[in-house]
Amino acid sequence: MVSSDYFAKLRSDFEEFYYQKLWLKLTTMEQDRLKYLHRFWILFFLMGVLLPALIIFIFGEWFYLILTQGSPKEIESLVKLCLLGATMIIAVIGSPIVTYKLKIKDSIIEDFINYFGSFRYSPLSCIHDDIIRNSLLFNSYNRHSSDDHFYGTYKNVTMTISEENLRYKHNKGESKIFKGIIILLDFPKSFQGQTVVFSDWGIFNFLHKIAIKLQHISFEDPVFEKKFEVFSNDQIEARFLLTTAFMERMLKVKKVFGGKKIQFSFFDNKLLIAVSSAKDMFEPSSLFKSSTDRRPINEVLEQFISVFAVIEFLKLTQQ
Amino acid sequence: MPISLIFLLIVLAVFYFLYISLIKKKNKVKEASSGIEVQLKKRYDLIPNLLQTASKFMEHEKFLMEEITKLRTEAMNGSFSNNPEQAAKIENALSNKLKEFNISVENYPDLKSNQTMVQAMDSMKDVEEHIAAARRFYNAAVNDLNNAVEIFPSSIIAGLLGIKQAVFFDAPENEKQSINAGDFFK
Repeated sequence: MVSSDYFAKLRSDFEEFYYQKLWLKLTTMEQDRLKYLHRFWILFFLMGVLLPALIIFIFGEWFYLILTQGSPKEIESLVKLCLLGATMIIAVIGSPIVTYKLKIKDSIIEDFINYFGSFRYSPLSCIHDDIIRNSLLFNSYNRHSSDDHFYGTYKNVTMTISEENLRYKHNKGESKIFKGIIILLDFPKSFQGQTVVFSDWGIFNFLHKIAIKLQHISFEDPVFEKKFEVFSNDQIEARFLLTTAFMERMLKVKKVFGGKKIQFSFFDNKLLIAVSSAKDMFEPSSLFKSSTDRRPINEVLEQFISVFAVIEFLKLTQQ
Repeated sequence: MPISLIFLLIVLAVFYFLYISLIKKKNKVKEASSGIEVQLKKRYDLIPNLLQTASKFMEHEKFLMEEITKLRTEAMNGSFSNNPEQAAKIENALSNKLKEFNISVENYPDLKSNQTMVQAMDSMKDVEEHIAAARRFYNAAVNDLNNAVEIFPSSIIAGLLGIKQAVFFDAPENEKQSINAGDFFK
């Protein structure tokens, strides 16, 4: 939890905002929630109980014969078929959950983030691959999806906040490259080169050196050196961007986010901040709880506060 | 292969790697010095523009402006790469005078709001930040070289090659002084 007077005030003022802007919409959504919940249970009974029972009743003997007397290839095909069927059934049963989630986000999330600034919510957008690749933080991914995407201004700083999921698909499945929040903003100082700040990987830091074709930069601050690994194509510019004060602020952000991995890339006069998080962020309600339940709302409030805390701690709002 | 030959090869390899490392560090200091020179040149180019704009408003600060001009000429006649100690001394004196000048500007509201002056001051601030960054790079390179020159076994090779310790580019005195809050409440 981020603690400062500014954020403490945001938390205390939120009550009034909640009842003025969100409560009525959430209360109206309760009817929809019950409708989707009803649909979910019907689908669960039909697709999750009745359909498998019917399939087993009709094809059970055939399945048994393949499993006991079939060739390994036939067994493998049967297992694959069952997995495919199960995936489809889960997708159908889960459809009311997804629809409700999208509907409630459409209804309140833009109002929610506008408590902090002036933002547009566009669920179908994502940060362009060129930007992510140019940041040099994540190169080895070939699957990219986005969940939530906000674009707007916070205290006169234009920025994009996006929940991104980057994966690498290979023969044996998929590997997670990055899941979390990406914040992209115009950096207040103008610069020409590229500077990338990775989290320290200890003895595995040599992997950064292999992956990135930039010079390794050593800084005079031993605490910063312990937490981050910096690479740049311009020794002087890296130090121009990472002043001793800015390095201290980066350490503070790192501390606030605890064990969470935080990385930075300065390029094209922009700053890209990537904060890893395994959690599905910005989910203000669940189908299985009342739409006015405060726990998920408070959780989203804390998530937004954490995002803006990065901006505040780095003092990016001060030109 | 006789053991003595293997031992000799190992010694030669170690000597060679230490030699490479020392030369790299020495060249890094050279690279950092030229980085500083590039940034200082930017400062020299900006000063006349700054003083020209200010001279129309700051008639009572003529002495300060003359001092800045004198220090600029002195700094331009020297070279940081050739004599870093002397150059650093002049540059720090120039930095201090420029800071004094910035403080004096505060007393002239018309000048402070002049668009050309605002732009010149912004450019100067940017250049000063770049000089500070270049100084950090230079000092880091000097620190690496000096460690290698002082620490055994590379100290022996440095002695054989005549590589000497380099001089740090210290920050101006007023940048190093810690703020005494009491001074502001006197």
